[in-house]
Amino acid sequence: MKRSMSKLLLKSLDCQLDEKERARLDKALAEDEALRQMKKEYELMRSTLATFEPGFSASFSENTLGKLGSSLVHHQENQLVFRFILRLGVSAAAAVLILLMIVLYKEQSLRIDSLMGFSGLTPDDFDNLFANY
Amino acid sequence: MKKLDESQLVGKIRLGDERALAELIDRHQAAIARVVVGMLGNVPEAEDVGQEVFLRFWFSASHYRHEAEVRTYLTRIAINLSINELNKRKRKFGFMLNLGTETAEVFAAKVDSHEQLYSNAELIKAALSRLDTAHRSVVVLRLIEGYSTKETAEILNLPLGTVLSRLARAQEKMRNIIGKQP
Repeated sequence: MKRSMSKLLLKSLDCQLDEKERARLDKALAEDEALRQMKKEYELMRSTLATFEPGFSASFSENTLGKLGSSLVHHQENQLVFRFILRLGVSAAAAVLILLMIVLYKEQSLRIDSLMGFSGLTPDDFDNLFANY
Repeated sequence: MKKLDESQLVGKIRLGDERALAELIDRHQAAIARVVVGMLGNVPEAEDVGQEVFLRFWFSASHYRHEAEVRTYLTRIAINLSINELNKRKRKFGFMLNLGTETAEVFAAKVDSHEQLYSNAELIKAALSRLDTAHRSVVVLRLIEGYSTKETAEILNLPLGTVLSRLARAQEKMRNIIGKQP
């Protein structure tokens, strides 16, 4: 049996063959006992697979709903944590913004020395500042 | 609950109606069982994956756009979760991959004739479990679940030609496995 014929046979199980292919396959099936046997085996295998009917346990639906309940609790807890972090973040950002606005208002600048509270100080001022320690 | 159509059911699920989810489970659990058990075999994790399919649907119901039927949408989730589970198993057990799955030879003694081998459900299942994930998923969707080759290609997000060649290869492999039985 030619390999091309077994391929054509498999193709025929899932696709519409064109006229030429159909004729070739029919001729080969009529002449070749092994190919006929192969076709029978594939068809048996496929019909057995089609009757495959496994199932989940009888309490599947109940268990899924139970799992949903605990997932929802977990989901709510996560949302609470997320909201807390979000609120904390927004508050912190607002505080930083207010601080920057105060610095800008007082110092008319947002340079690093203004932000650090060192604007207008000279190196001598630092010496004097630390001389007492 | 009176018989609702699928879109009404999904609408209720979106609103958080757990009874609607129970109804959806009743309608589709058989199809999901065929997909998940077909992919994973009859193992305890199959039920967990099945439950996860419906939970995923619950939490993503707002994203469901009715472009595909609910069954197809659930099947897509089931296939993806089953593939994840198989990959997890692969990482966990490595070369001991066949652990927990029946081997084809175990059932060989139960049949009388060579032809009977191909209608022996246990032997067919064992041969299916020997296929790799890519081939198995095509067989499960097309030959067990009964999707057309076009639908199978859409669910797996593959070109139609790839589905057809995998299907042919998978059947050849299964036939070879079964044919090697004494």
